[in-house]
Amino acid sequence: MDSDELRRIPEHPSGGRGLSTAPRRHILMTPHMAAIGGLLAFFMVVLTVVVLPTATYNPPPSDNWLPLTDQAMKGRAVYLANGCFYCHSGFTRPQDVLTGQYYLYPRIAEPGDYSGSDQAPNIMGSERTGPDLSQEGGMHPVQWHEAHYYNPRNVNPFSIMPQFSFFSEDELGNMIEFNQESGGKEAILRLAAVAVGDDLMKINQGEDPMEDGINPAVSHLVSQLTASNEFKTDGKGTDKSPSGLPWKAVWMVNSFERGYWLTSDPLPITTQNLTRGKQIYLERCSGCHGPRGDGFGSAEPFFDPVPFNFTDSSNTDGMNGAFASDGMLYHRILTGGPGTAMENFGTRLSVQDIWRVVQFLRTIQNGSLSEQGSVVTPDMFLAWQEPPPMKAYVSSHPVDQGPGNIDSGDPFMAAAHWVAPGLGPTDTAMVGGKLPMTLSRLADLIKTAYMNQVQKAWDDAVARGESGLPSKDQIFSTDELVFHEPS
Amino acid sequence: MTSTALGADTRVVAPRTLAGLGEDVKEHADYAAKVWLYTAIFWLTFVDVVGLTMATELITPDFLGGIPWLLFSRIRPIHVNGVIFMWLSSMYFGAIFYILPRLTGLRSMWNEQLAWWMAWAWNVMCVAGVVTLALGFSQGREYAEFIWPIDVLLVAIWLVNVYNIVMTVLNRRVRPLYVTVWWFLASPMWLAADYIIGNVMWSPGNWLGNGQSVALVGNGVSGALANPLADAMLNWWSNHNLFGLWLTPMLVAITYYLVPRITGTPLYSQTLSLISFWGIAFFYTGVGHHHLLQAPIPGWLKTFATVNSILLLIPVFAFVSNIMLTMRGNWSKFITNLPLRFVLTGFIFYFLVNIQGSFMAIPAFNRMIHFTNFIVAHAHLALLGAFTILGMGLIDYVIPQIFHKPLYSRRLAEWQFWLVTIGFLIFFWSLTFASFLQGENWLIGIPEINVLPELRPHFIARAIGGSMILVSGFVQMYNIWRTVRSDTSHHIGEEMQPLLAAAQAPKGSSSQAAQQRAGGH
Repeated sequence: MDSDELRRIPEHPSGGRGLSTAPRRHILMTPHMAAIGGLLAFFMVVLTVVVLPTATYNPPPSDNWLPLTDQAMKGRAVYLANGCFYCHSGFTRPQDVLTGQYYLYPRIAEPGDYSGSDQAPNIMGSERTGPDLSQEGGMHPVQWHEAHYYNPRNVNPFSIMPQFSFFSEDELGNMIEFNQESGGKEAILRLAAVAVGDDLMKINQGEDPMEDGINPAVSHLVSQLTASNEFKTDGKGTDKSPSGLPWKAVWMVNSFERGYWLTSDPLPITTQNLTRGKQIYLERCSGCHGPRGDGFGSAEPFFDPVPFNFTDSSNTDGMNGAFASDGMLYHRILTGGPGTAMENFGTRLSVQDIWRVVQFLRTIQNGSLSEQGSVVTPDMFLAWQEPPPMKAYVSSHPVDQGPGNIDSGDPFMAAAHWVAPGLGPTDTAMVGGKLPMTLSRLADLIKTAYMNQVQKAWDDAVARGESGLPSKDQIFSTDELVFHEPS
Repeated sequence: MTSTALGADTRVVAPRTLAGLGEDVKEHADYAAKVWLYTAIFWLTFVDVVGLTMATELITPDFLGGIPWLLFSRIRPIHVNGVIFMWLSSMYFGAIFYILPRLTGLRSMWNEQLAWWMAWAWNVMCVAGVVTLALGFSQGREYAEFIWPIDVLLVAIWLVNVYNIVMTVLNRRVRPLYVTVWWFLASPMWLAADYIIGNVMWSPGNWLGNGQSVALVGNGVSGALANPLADAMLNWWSNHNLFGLWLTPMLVAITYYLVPRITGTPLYSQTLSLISFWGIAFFYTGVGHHHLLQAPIPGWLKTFATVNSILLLIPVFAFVSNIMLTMRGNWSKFITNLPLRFVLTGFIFYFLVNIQGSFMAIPAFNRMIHFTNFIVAHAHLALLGAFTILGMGLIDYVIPQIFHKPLYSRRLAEWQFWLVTIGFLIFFWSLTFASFLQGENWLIGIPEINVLPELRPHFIARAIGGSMILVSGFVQMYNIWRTVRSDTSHHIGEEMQPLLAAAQAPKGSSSQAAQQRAGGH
């Protein structure tokens, strides 16, 4: 090889081809041009895309916006320290909200939803491995979160989220509070409905309504009703209602929509359907209801009320699978259990698959889960036997006298209807045999719980000296409030 | 003697002087460059280990479960900041401190000692960053997680390096500035400005990071704007400029240096390099908001980001055609010269990632791939496929140059190349296919949790690809270590006998020279 060719300085274009046909003798760029000119170009763009929008774009708080409580802000710090926003986005996009279908997310994020320094730094996120959490508030009860943080596989065997079992009690509580307040007023309304529903379930199980974990709104109502002698202190869940069905079971029945009370499984009982049902059960349900179907899944210790037991055939108080009709089980899987950790699977399973799971549940008493890897066959199927008192109750509460179309203009009534979808406008159910509950009382109860939480958030924000707070009227206004069922 | 396939460019020992172009400098100090590059090799392996741990955690989430400082979400910022600041920035500064004296006709940097001290200070900063992030001290803003004291340390070291670079250029002995030097001047300055603005460093607030609930008052937020939407806009604008104004320009600069240097061909056109410089300066600075096309931010800003993302093709094509035209007639060296192969592989991936990135900013396409693993694949196409492979090639080129002896083993370097390239391709395609599953399913209303089981095989493939990349890093570490520590001059004889015979220079062979130097170790 020619040694000149080898030793030519490549940095110096010595010509021959290309745009620069002759070696450049002059200097193309000076250090000043590169450094100062480069910085000038940079700052010109900074002016356009950083300074200008920051200075001009300050949307006022939306109607749905609420400040966070101090506890939730501490939870937000835990959220940031542990990098939750890497897998969970902090805003919902237009394409996330599908009209006319089961929704995953209730609303599209609006500029006004991101207001107030209690939401800084941003947690918009760049990737979704898990769901968006900007509207997580009230989607699950607190006990679900506790089981989930301890090990997400407890409640969701498909989850690939890490365990947060190392959280201290404070961290866990703060974190859950932040989750429950994410999503503004709509979240607080869901949270109020979930909390009230949870407490009523507990009272129905015989727990003392004045104890610590019960929402103050519920305790307050109980003390009011005790004063007016409406609260039956000596009542029990096993006391019979006028139709003969125990009150405990009445409240359970009213947590299902009337239309589903006596619906039976439309699918033929085949090995295929049962096998598919079993597969889904093991994939999705075993965390709580247990690999044997006895309600002792790994999440069970976290739950009150406990998950349905599908191996028990004798119980008539409403707390097992044999008590519920096919339609009730379908409804429960489709929409979730108001006030329990039972999730809404309507977005995750097809209609057919839900019915297949229901069909499979009817084989558990015959040992379809007793042995690992066993084959489920149609002869294991046990058709649902309607308990006689239930027949009486159901026939005295026909669908056409049910709740019908609840006025959707009142979000609290809509929330009450979600907690007790079987309750008609004129019905009174004694929760746990003690607490007389009507739909309007339930709506008031949820409203009280909601308002308490809003008041707390407002007080905390004012005490913190939060800047840019909207008027107190806007914070407490419920004009634009909509109830979205937990999805 | 030609530049051999082993990467030993022996021209530096040829005593021919080309007046004014710096070639009369026979010995360079390369004192600081060595430290920056050695530690870069270490940090590459470190961030690979972290990345593989994360990939494993996504397959078996209970693996290492419950150990807070090994949590996926705690080590993810270590991986991301590690790749950008610990591995790539160390490697790039090593490259600057190696290349700049050669392009300015100097023996060393303006203050080589200072650059050396900064290398160690930088490593202290990196270790502090790793420890604080693992313990949960984080600002909680993606790509801006380092807490305020570490930000300050980072920027201080950075500005000292900038000062050193500027002083070196002002004291140069070669008057014309080669295109690489333009970037060496502008790019670190851009990044310093971007880092200071993007981390809102004038507002230390709760300086232990927003992950610590010590200060809860409204203005206590650390390193972020108080308005969450403005903060999101600033966050993503500055994040993208880490790539646009530092990592990408440095790839461009190093390619502009290494390709003409290794092939012994002058750069095709200085005019095209002007277009690439000013194009990136103007168009790349304003693309960051394309991360927020579906978010509630001003519409005009989204349009601005999309348009700029497309305009970015202009400097990219200017750069790519310049290099392709410089490579005319030189492609046989792509096979024979390993560092060149690394560099050009990185260059090709750089071209692809820019085309991909521009089209990802189109709203209709963005609708489907937003929030999916497409973004993760895209980011790795840039940071792994382009910058890391280029960096590996740079190290395999520079270390033999500094020590005047060939690499310890070409075979190991081949293994390094194929492991990282194939590993990366497996990684990239598995995540890209995974992202189509996510995007298509989400668009028809299927929830995230239902898609997770479908992603599992892709995540497993990704981890396999990731392990290959990690092994490649170890191979390089071993190869460079042996190159530095042992006498490798006989390797020329083994593999390059025919070429040597043809190109034997009359005045003393390079292998003798190398043996003399190696004797000192």
